[in-house]
Amino acid sequence: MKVLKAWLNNHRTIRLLVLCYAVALVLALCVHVGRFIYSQILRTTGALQTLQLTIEDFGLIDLYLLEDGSYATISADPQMLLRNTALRVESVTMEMQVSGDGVTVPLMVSAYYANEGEGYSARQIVYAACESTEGSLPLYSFSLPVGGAYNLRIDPDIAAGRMLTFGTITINAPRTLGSYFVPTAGEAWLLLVVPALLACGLSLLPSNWRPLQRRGAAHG
Amino acid sequence: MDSARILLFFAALIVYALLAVHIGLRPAAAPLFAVCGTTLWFVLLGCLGFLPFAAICYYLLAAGGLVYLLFCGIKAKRLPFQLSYGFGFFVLASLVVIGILWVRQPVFSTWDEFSFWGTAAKLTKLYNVFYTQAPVGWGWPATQMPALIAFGYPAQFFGTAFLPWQTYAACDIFQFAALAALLAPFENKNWNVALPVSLIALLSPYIFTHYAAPVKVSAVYLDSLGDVPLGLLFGAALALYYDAAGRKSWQRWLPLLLCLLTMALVKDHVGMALALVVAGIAFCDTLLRPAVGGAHFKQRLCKALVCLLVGIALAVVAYLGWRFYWTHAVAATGGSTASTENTSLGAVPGLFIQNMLHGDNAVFNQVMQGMPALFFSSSITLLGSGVRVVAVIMALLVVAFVLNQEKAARLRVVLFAGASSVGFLAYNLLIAVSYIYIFREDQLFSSYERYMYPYYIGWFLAALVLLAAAVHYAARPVLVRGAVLLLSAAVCLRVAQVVPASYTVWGFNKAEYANQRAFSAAMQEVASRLQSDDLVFVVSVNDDGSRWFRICYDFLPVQVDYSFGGGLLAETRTDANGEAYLHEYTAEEWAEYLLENDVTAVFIDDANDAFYQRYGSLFSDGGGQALYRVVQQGAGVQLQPLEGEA
Repeated sequence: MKVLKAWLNNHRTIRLLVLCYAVALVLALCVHVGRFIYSQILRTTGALQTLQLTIEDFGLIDLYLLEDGSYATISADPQMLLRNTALRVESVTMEMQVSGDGVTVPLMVSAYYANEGEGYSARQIVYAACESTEGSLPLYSFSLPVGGAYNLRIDPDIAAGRMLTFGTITINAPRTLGSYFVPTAGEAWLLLVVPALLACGLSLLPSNWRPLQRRGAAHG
Repeated sequence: MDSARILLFFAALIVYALLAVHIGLRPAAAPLFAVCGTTLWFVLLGCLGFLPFAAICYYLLAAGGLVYLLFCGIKAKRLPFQLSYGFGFFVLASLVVIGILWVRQPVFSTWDEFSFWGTAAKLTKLYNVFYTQAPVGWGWPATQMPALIAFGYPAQFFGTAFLPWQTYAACDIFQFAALAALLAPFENKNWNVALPVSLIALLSPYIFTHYAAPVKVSAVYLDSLGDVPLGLLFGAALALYYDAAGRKSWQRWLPLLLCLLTMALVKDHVGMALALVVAGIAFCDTLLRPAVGGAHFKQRLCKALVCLLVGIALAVVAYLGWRFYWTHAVAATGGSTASTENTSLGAVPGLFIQNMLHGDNAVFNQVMQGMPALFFSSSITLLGSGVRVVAVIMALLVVAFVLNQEKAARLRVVLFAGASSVGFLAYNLLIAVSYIYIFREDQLFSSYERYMYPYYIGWFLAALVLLAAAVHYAARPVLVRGAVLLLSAAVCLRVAQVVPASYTVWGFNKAEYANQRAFSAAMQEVASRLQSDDLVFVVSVNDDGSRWFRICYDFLPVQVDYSFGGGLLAETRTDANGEAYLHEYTAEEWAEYLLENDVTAVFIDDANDAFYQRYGSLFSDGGGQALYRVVQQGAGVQLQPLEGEA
């Protein structure tokens, strides 16, 4: 223990890294809290409304309506388009059941969200989380970045020859508090790398730079 | 158990790396030492046919090493406090990637993984012998070099199932060890140089293997091919040389020696070629730099020759040793040695000179004109074409030259620039010769970029190491630190601009592999209805060969017959609609083929009306089921449905 303490005391590096990561964590937390608050403001002012849609509200590509009301995927890239950038979207919940080919779950459910005037790209993609309860259709839900108004494209599956039965598709269903605090892959990467590089940058400053020296002195 | 075994493997690797630190190796080079040692151990014992024995010894020794470290090592030398940033980087990066792969379970998805690497790894796991000796009935996997597969074997030694994600994890551990070794020459007391350099090096495969935004999950750190690992090893070997140059301590030289041996066993003959380039660069550096070789020319010449000869000996012994084993092993199993070569290697130099003098070989002329054209115009990296890559590397070296204050250090940079450029020319010549004499004519310039990546990656990393190492010789080290930091920020930005986080190993979604996983599950379900000694003929009328490879891979240990074309269906088919599938054969000829080759079952993966019109008479029920048993009837054959039999 003593050795460890001495080692820490002698390592400005470790203190610097801890400092940078702590600051970054606090900042990230602030950002997420800010998103949550912003979302609540939008909700109370009515800018963000919960909407109940059906499959008919979407433009369909490679989804073919069958007699029993379900839809067949006629290619491996079926799409549901909702082009309305006047609409603020931060979450989508979709009831959907898959059948055919001996399967009951889709291979992949993903959604692209594009800002007005932009195309869909892998930069703006989210993947569905699935939740199934006894006696009702399985629920697929997406969380999108807070505050944006997007053109939406939902890819309900990536296989041809499946039968999809859709229930209600809810836009902006109430979200759990925790869902506002899950970083995207890009954000997590930033959180990992930026503080480390920042600490490198700070370490280049002269060692008699006062703010750092004072911290160093306090620790011995 | 099957999943957790990778942690056991990693723990064993760490024990060996710690032991290496304990005996005085650089902490940053210790992981690569352990990785190369592991690889060579399993290659050697694999060739001798003792893979399981090698694995048991490996783990027992690791356990013994752990006990020794706990009771002697740590107390005596305060081992944990000798560790460095590079060692930590290796451990953390490996653990993170193991965690990610464990959760998201990626599977093989590219053509070459089914036709070569992945199938070879699966064969080695299933049969506990090298893939060269495993029964597969077709020769392609056996043509692979053994390093990555040998290294991946102990990772999956325990348990029964073969898990592709563990092959990826082992491959990543291999690469991270090489990345850590890059830091050996300068990381001591320079963490703020080592950290940005490790970040640049980590991202460098993205820079050199993508030329545009990827449209699916990037294969970097998510494949089992040898290109990128070889490039990283090339860079690491050069870094280890500069760390050892001019020193007498064997602890500095040992990792380099193992690294050169391993390089020659990673990919085709280019692995050996790159090891030779390292030897050549070491030769020039030792010969022309008094700070390394000594004041007298004779003394320097002696040392330089030793460097050169040892380097050549290691690379050539490893490569030829493997070829020797390979020829005998493949001949012994009676496997087909069908490979892409069409000229024996020994005759190549003579032919080359002859063609150069006469200029009458059309392929020769085409390749000799095509290689420079590709270098200048083919945009194969995020930096652009080869000439731009070289410009960037030279720019790094100029900065390194300017920042260095000491003459000897400047000379080192100049010598490296010269020697590595000559090496690059020689390497290009080798690739050209391969295209002319070894590849088939229709494969001219195939995989050009994959042959160039290793050199570019290693060259770039070595230049980066020289720039970072200037921190020891600069008048104002803070400039070096600043330059490296700026460069790392630029690299991060450029990669982030082009490669979305959701398409990297860091952020990809499990669902991206759902298609492959579903296909594998379906095929394994089919295979489970067969016996492990069955030989299956696959009918897949719309196949371009890829499905045949995938079915071969997924069916294992059930064997798949070559099935009139195997993976070459795309080339042998005459009609794109599959109408002329098996066009050369009548129903009687097919029946004869099935009998002659001891085929026991037929799997109908995909068939159409044209197929049944031609061959329907052989099916007892007219066709329509997935699996049929081949039953001899007099001189002919009947195919009886297998459904319900199991």
